[in-house]
Amino acid sequence: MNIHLIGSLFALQIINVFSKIPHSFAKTGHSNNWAVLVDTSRFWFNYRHVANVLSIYRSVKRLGIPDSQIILMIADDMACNPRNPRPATVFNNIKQHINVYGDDVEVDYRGYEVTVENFVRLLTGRLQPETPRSKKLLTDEGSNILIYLTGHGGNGFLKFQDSEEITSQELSDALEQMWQKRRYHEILFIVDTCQASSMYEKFYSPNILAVASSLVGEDSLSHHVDPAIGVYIIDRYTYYALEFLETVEPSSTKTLSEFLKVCPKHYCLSTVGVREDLFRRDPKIVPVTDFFGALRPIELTSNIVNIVDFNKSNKTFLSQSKEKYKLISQFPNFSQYS
Amino acid sequence: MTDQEINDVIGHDSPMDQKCRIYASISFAVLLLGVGLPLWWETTAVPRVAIPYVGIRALDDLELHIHVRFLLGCLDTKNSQQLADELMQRLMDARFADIYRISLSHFGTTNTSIARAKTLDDLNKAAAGFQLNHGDILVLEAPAGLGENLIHVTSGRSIYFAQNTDSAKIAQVLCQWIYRDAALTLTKNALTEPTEYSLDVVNRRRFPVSSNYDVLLTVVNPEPELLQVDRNFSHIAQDYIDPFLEELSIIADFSIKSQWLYFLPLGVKPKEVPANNKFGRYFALSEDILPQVITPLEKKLASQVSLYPTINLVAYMVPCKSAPLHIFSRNGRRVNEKLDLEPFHSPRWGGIVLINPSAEFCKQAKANKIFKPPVNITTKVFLTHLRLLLGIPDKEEISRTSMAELSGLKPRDWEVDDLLRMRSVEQLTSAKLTLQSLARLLREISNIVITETVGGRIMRALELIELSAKLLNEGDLKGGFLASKEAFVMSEAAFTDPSLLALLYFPDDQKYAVYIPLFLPIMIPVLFSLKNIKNYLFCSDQV
Repeated sequence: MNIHLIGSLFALQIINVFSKIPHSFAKTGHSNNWAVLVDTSRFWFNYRHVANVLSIYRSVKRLGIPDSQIILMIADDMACNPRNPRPATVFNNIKQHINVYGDDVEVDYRGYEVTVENFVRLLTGRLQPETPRSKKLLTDEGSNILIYLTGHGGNGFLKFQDSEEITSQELSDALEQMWQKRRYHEILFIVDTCQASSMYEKFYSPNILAVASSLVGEDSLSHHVDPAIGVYIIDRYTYYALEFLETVEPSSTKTLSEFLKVCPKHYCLSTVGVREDLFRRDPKIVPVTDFFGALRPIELTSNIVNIVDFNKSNKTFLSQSKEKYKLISQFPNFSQYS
Repeated sequence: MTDQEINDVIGHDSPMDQKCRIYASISFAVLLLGVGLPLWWETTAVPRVAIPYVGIRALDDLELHIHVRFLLGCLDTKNSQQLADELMQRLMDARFADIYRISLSHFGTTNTSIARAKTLDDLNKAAAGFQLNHGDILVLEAPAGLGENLIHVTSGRSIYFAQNTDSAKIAQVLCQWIYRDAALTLTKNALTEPTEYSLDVVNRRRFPVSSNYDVLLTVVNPEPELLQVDRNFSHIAQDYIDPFLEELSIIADFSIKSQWLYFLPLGVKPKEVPANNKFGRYFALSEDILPQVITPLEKKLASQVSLYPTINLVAYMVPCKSAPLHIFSRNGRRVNEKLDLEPFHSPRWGGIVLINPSAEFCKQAKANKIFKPPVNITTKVFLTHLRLLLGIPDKEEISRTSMAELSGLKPRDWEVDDLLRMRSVEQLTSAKLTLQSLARLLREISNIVITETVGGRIMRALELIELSAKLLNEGDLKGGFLASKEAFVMSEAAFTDPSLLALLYFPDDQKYAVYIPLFLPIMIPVLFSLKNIKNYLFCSDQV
């Protein structure tokens, strides 16, 4: 009896040890959020990919990532395509619930700028010095990055606009460069293509959680056709991901493990692949908003410095002087010279 | 036609003709194979400057022990020897030795002005006589004048201690406030092995190193039609913040901007609570929802126009109808109740202060009156934010130890030294990692172009890292810091140079696709003629 009791106590102890996650892992260490959203295909029959990427764009923006921290790479040839019966809209649903094009879409890389080279340059930070800030990924070792890719893929590659492709090796090397350069804290990598899981198989850098809409050998299927548009309008995985994200609020406590289950096999028809071994926190306790939102940690400022003999600088500034402003003529008067 | 005529017309090969033809073939072949091929090879090769791989690998063993000097002066020479020994022992057994090397010199102050000092001012005057450089610390035994405290830390580089102070106490002050060896070690480890170590709250707060920062002061007035705010308020940017940052100009280049934003609501709904104050109520904002205040604000701040990290300072004017707005911490109390201020900050982002108009002002607000926010206290809050975000943390209190108040906008000298040490370590470690990562990439992938610029930058960065480590080891903190800053900038520039990817997306097969059609039509006759040349030269009897 005694032995039994001690045994069960011991077992309880063990359970306790394993269920207790270290405090530092449960708490996030990130200080800012970024999103890199890429649609690698173009032309009208790929309408669904644009709807995919804009669905995610809409969600991260709604949940608080500012446009300056979202890099959106799409061909952007749908909203104003002559075949679009409702110009300036992109819908994710035949019932036209949600116009994912929204009111303000800020595309950073447009049209033929969506290339493998630009994508890798963006990730590794090797851009021309004259590149505007909106096209740069200015992350540091405290940044959580959401990378979402959609397009046409095969085993081990993802096609970029019919002319080139990025291999899974290239992608994982680029991510490793980012890690070595301390350009991220954690990455949530989502890819919605055929044979998507082949894209993350070669990853070897830490702190990456990868999700793929289909396993190797499977096709990632589209959700439904809108006869008015004439083509498939969204892919299954992203359709259900958006459905889930629409229920998330900036303050909500939904976790990543719930997000990983948004598309079970009878919805997606393909198997959603997840790679967790590189990620060091438990998805069950990581809030979705660690990647899809932008909640910055805050601290109350407690010890206000006390400053004695506190004088402002003696410099005079233009704004303080009592200068009168007057209108001057737009063109110089040359009459005095002639 | 005779045979003779036919021969003339057809022009049978004379030996002379044959010789000319062979020589022509030889000259073609020599030109093409001897000059053309090497030239083609040379011009299509990926230009790669030699990289000092050995030197970069040797950075792993780069020794960094910041050399600090400290001078110990006791009233009694005999005492000073004993205290010096004790202090050395206490400092060296900590993690201190990992990152620091100390040279301690001690002396007696029996017949000097120090021994005669009656007040702190006298001591300060006496201490001013010592030549102290960046990083040096003067520890003096004070004859009297410290009052109840055992130790007093000045705003210069000196520390006074009362007679009979325990050496453990002095060592504690030195480690905890002045040298901060634990923070330095953690910073270094977190950079080199991010999977093993992560920064603590204090060290995660400051901005990552950069050569430039932008400071953006934003005054938010959500209801300008109801609340007119004094336009001169934003002058605190030039009057106070600018001179403060000028004192820190050695660390980085700062540029300061200010802006006004209107019609920008708070984004969260505070709870109204009836209270016994002049308003008869207050609005409560809990600490937990403050992150949601920053999110909508961030979209409108336009900090994205700058290429450098931006330190945001936001003054939010609370409209009368939702005043007074108070922030409550998780345990339900107001943090700055005495100052009647509502400041908070976000690591690596900036600071926000909510400014409440007074009850008197709000009652007569219908008259066209201008609200003058309290400039002095707001400035103090912003300076607190800037100090925290740039890496001068709050010092944890030590019993019976006092610290000189800040006078003017200048940070204390030893705080600047601490900042220099911290950033030297960060910059050096970061530059080292950058170079090593780049070297690994360049060695593994052979078709990456290494231009002269990139090669030069790598060489320069490597030299500067070594120089900086040498200077720091020798005790030249300022020189070592400046070298590390340049090394950091150089290595960043080398790593992010766009030319590195220039040929990566120009595959090898395309090279052949371009050159083969050009060369093949010429090469085929030349290659065939080689056989004839061989026959002519070596088997001439058969011809």
